[in-house]
Amino acid sequence: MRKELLYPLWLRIWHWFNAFLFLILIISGISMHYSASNDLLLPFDIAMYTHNVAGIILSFIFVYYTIFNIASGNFRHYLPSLKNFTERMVKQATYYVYGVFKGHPHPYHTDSKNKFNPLQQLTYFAIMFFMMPLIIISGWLLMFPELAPENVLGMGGVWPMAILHIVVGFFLSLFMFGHIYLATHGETVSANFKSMIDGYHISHDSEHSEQTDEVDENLIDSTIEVEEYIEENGSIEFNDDDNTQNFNEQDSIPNSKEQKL
Amino acid sequence: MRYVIQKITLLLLVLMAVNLRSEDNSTCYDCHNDPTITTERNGVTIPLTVKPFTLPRSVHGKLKCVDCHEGFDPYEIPHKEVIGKVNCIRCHQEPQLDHKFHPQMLGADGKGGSADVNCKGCHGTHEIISKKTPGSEFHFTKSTEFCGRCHPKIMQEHLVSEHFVELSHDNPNAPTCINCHSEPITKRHLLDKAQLKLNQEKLCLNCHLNHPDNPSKFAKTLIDYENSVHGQAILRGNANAAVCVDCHGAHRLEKADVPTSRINKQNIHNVCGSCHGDIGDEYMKSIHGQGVIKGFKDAPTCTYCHGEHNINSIPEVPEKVFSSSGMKFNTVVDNRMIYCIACHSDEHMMKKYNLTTIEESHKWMPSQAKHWETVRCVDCHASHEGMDLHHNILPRAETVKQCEECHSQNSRLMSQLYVHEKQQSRSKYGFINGTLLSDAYVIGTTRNIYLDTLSLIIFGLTFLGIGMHGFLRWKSKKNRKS
Repeated sequence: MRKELLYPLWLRIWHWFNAFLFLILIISGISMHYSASNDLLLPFDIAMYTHNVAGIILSFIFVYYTIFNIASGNFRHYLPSLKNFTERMVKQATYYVYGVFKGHPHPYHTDSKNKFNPLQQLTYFAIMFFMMPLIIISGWLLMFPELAPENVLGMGGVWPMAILHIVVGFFLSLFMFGHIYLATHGETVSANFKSMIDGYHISHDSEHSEQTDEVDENLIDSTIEVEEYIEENGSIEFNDDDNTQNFNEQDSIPNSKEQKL
Repeated sequence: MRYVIQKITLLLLVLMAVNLRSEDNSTCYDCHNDPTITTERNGVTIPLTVKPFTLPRSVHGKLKCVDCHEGFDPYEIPHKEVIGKVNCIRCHQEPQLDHKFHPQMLGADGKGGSADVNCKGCHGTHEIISKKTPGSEFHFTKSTEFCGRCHPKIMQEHLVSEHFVELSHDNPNAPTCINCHSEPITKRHLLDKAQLKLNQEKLCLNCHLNHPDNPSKFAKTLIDYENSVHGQAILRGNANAAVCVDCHGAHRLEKADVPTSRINKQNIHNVCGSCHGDIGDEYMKSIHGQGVIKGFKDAPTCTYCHGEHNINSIPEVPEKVFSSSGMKFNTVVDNRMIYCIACHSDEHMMKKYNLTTIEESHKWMPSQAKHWETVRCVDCHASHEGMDLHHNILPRAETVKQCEECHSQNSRLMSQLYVHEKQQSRSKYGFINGTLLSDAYVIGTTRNIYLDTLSLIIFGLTFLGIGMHGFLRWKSKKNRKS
C-alpha cells in the first residue's frame, strides 16, 4: 500500500472554496431564474447581490488556481493523451456501467503521475479550460454589458451572453452532482472526500489491472530510503503540509478499490 | 206634382226662417250677455255668460253661435233636446297634423275626449285668439308657460335653458316647445329606440349642423356630431349610442359655463360616466379628476382629450416644443399625446401647479426621439389597473416605469435597457456598489420554455441515473459479500 500526497494545499484550498461558491451560485442563480414564480427561493435582490459577489470571488480564485496550476505543472494532468483515446475511454466507461457491479478493480491506477482516469481527464479538460472561462467571461460581461458586443448575429449582445451563462451554468451544476457521486467510488464511500481534505491518496498497486508504463525513479529511491529509515527507527512520522511524498507500509487490504476523484 | 212643389216651398221657407234667426248672434246675446245666467248640470252650476265682444275678437269672430252650437233653437229652452259637445273636427279635420307634439291627438273625436285629447282644454271656447297675434297665449313666445300648465316640471327646466334665454330676447329663431315637439321625438310616438334617437339627433342638427352645404343660420355652436364615434354608431343603428339630448339633456340646456350645467367642467365626467361608468371612475381617481374636484380650471376633463362632438380638434402647441424635444408632430397627434403635451409643455401653467415641463422632466430618458415616437404618455403615467384602462393618470411620484414591457420584445431592446440600467446604477451608487447592487436583470431572456424544460429533464435523468447506479452498486456489493 502506498500513501502519496496527490492534492497539495493550494489545490485543496481552491477546491473547497470553489465548491462552496458553486453551491451559493447555484442557489442564487436558480433564485433569480425563477424569481417571478417561486417564493421558496431567495428574494430577487438578495439573490442578485449574492450571485454578483460570489461570481466575482469565484473569478478571482479561478485566476489564483490558473497561476498555481501553471506554475506547479499540475495543468499537464488535464491534457488528454490522444494515444489509444477511444479504447481507454471505452475501458473506463465499461468499468462504470459493468465492472463496478462485479467488484472489478479500477482499470487505471491513480498516482502522482496520473491523477485522473481518461474520462476524468476529458471532463476536467472541458470544464476547467472551456466552461469555467466561458461562464466567468459571460458573467463579467453581464455585469459590464457596455463591454459586450452590441450585435451578435443580428441579436442584441446581452442576450447571447445571458443564454451562454445559463447553459454553461447548467452543465457545471450537472457536473457538480456527477462529480460528488463519482467521488464515492473510492476505497470506501468517504475515502476520496477524506483525501481531498488531507491531500493524501492511499493505493494498493497489486490491485490494479494495468500499471502505468513509466516508473517513478524518485519514488523507488525514496521508498528504499524510507524502508532503511524504518529498519533503523521502527516508525515514521508524517507532516501533512510537507510536499514531499511520504508513505507508510501497512498490511495490504485485499480487494480494496482505487480512489478516483 | 203640385204636392211636391208645395213641400219644397215649405221646406225652403222653414230653412230661411231658421237662417234669418241664426244669422244674428244678437239674439243669443240678448240672454247670454247676462252675467248671472247659469245652468245646472249634474248638480254643478255652469255659467253661460258670453260677452258680446269676446267672439268677434277671436279667430272665430265671423262665425255664428249656431255654427258650433248646432241645431240650437234660441226660442226653446233647453235649446236642443240633447245638448252635445261642440265638435271642432267638423271644421278642423285631421287635428293630429297640426298637433304632432301631442301624438295622442290621433284619438281625438273633436268633442272632448281624454284630458290629453281635448281641444277645449288648451284652446278654450269663445275667446280663441290666433297664434300669430302677439298677445295670444298661443304665440310662440308664450308656449313655455302655456305648455307648462300641464308640464310644470319640464317648464321649470326649460326656463333656465339657453333656448328660453333666446326666446325671452324675442329671437324669432329660438325654438319653442312646439318647434321641437312637432317632430316625432318622444316615446308617445311609439317608434323603436334607434329611430327615435335618430329623430332627436336630426332635430337638433336641423339648427346646429355644421356643413358647407348647409351652414347653420341659427346655431351659436357649430358641431360635427355626425363624424364622431357617437354619430357614426347611431347611424349604424346602435340604439345605445349617445345623441345630443343624452349629454345635454332635453330641456335644461344650460351653457357649459353655468355651474349647474350637465356639460360644465365639474359635471361632464358624470355625463360621460353614465354610459362609460368604469372609465369615469378611473378618471375620478386620477390626478386630473382630483384636480377637477379641487376646482383647478386647467385640469383636463373627458372632453378635453376626446373632443366634444368631433374628436378631430387639435390643440395648439408651440413649434419649439417639437424642435427641442425631438417629438414628431404627426406621431403625437396620431397617438393623442398632443393633448398631454399641450398643457405639459406650457411653462406658465406648469409653474402654477409646481410642475416641470414635459421636456424638463424627461431629460433623464435615453434615446429621447425614439421614446417619444414609440411610447405614449399613458404607457408610463397611467395606473393600468382594472380593465387596462388608461384614465387613472397617476401623480408624478407614482409613475409606472414600464420599461421591461417594451424592452423584453426583442434581444436588441433588451440589451439597450440592460446596458442603460447598469450604467445608471453605477452613476447613482458609484462603481463598486453600482455594480454589485444593480438589480438590472435580463428579464425573460433566460426563461426560455424549451431550455427550462430540457434542463429539468436532463437534471431529472441525471439524478435518476445516479440513484439507480448507487442502488445497483450497493446491491451487487451485498450479493458479493454474501
